[in-house]
Amino acid sequence: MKREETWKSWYKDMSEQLSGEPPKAAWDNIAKTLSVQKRKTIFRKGVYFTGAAFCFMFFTTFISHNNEQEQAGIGISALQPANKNLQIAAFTIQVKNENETLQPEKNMISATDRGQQQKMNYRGQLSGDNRREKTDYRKSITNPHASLITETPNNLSEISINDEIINAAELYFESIPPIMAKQQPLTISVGADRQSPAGVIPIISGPPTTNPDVSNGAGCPPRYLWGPTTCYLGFSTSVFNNWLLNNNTYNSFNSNSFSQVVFSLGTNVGISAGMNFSEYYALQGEMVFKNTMGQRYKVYEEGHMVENEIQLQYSQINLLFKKKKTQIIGENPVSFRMLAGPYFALLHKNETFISKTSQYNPDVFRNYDAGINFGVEYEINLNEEITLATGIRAALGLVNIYQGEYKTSANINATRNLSIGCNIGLHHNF
Amino acid sequence: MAQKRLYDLYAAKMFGVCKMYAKDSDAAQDILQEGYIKVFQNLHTYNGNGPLEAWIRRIIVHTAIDHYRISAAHQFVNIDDCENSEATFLHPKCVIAEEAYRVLDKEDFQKMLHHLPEGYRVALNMFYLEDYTHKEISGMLGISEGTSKSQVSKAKKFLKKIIETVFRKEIFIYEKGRNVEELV
Repeated sequence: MKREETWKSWYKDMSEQLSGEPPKAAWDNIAKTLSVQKRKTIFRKGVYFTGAAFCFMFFTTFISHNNEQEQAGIGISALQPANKNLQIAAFTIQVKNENETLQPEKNMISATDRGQQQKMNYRGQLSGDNRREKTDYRKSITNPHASLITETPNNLSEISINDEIINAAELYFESIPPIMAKQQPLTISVGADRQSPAGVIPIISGPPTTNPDVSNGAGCPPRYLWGPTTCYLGFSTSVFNNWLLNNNTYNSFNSNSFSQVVFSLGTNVGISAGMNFSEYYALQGEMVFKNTMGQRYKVYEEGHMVENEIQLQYSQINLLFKKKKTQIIGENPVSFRMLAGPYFALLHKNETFISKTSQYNPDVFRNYDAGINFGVEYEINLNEEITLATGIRAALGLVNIYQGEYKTSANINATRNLSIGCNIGLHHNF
Repeated sequence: MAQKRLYDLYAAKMFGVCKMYAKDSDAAQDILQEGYIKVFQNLHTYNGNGPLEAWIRRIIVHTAIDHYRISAAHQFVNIDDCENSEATFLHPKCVIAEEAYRVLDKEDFQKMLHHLPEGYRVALNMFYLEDYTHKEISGMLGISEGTSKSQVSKAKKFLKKIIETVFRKEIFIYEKGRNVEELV
């Protein structure tokens, strides 16, 4: 024992003697890297912000379509409180089919709905033989419960894709009643203006309606596609591959790396309940049991590859916002849905296997995780009450789940959950 | 510049730590640079618990371990290779010379270290310098606990043999000043 201590002491002493000034180039390289990384950080934040804005836009003002003319709109919307009123600002870009006929100039006043009034102006013109069309779309909604704050300042632009697309861009402001208005409780509806050449514009104002006078009156666009509201209850199950986004995973992309992440299939089953707020929008909650996450990887050890595995088992709650587009295939309506939303998960089991043997099980992983789900889904109505939904889904954890006292080389940077796989669900509609 | 001052304060010591883990001076410099970048990026996470030097050292050591793990050249040496390697250091006239430990200078020590297989060196440093347990080493290197014990034990034995063989008393007296690598 004494000999061991002596040896250790000697080894430490020798190691301390190795201290010495590093080359000057070392600091120069550090300073240079820090400077570059600062610029990258600014750029990355810009990309994130743009991505977030795009996602928000994508799920609020996506695609519009009607039988008479194919057109799609895409835009950005934002909410801001101003002068006791809630305002919406939307910037939309619209795409039209080349076969679309020009809209004659129209001025119309729609049927009123609970005191609201909508006025539409269309103006079209040809631009030579290049089949370009410029559409000026103006819209204003007034509400007697609020003073009209903003008339529609228009920012018109023209976009051509190949030789068939003409578009208008619109900067759009709308005022709505004060939040605390006593005369009428605040109702916020996100609706689709399907026949509007500006595509789907989220409208925040007044109660929803399916009033046919509003929807179909003499070319007047429908205003709020809201309801009828339906509920459903069912179950869902998933099969997916899961990864831990850590150094092991990143290093796998390096062919010279000694570690290699391999496929790790996971499954889960859960119950789901949802509400269709309209033909297009739905909100779904899911309770998932035994959601198996983790990682399987191989490392080079003593001349051969040894397979290790980290198993993390969660119970998870998903909240999914769905945007639907419906097509008639055969006799059944088939719905294609995009979905996105947050999840929250609680860890109730974690185990690490090295060479298929449970080697150590420290509490190195957080007992919770949170992130986002996103994906696409097809829905088939088997009959009036039963709906089958199947699709592809991804879940990305946003929390660094590693919390060990010491950082392993695999976890020295953040460690996050990721899974991508197939999902199938069966719902009973009420 | 505050970052430069912080760097100057501990750079010499940390460079020594890097030399202990790296296979050569260039690799040591790489580890130092990468480690200090992590230090500056994560400085906000230092909560004041424990000395700053220890916190920086931990980051540097982890960076060194990362280098070791992702190094394409890195190989765990099995016992057969080890025995074969040791044979090249043995000399028929060798005798054990305890004095070798006392007279060994830092340059020779560093060169000795570089003769150790990388896996041995890292495990040895983690165990004797950083005071990690074999359980912790196994977790950090992704190896089994038994392998960790084996690596440390073999490393120590390997290093001892190099020192005691090369610096046997007679050679030391007559050939002090000669490059260790020449002797090896």
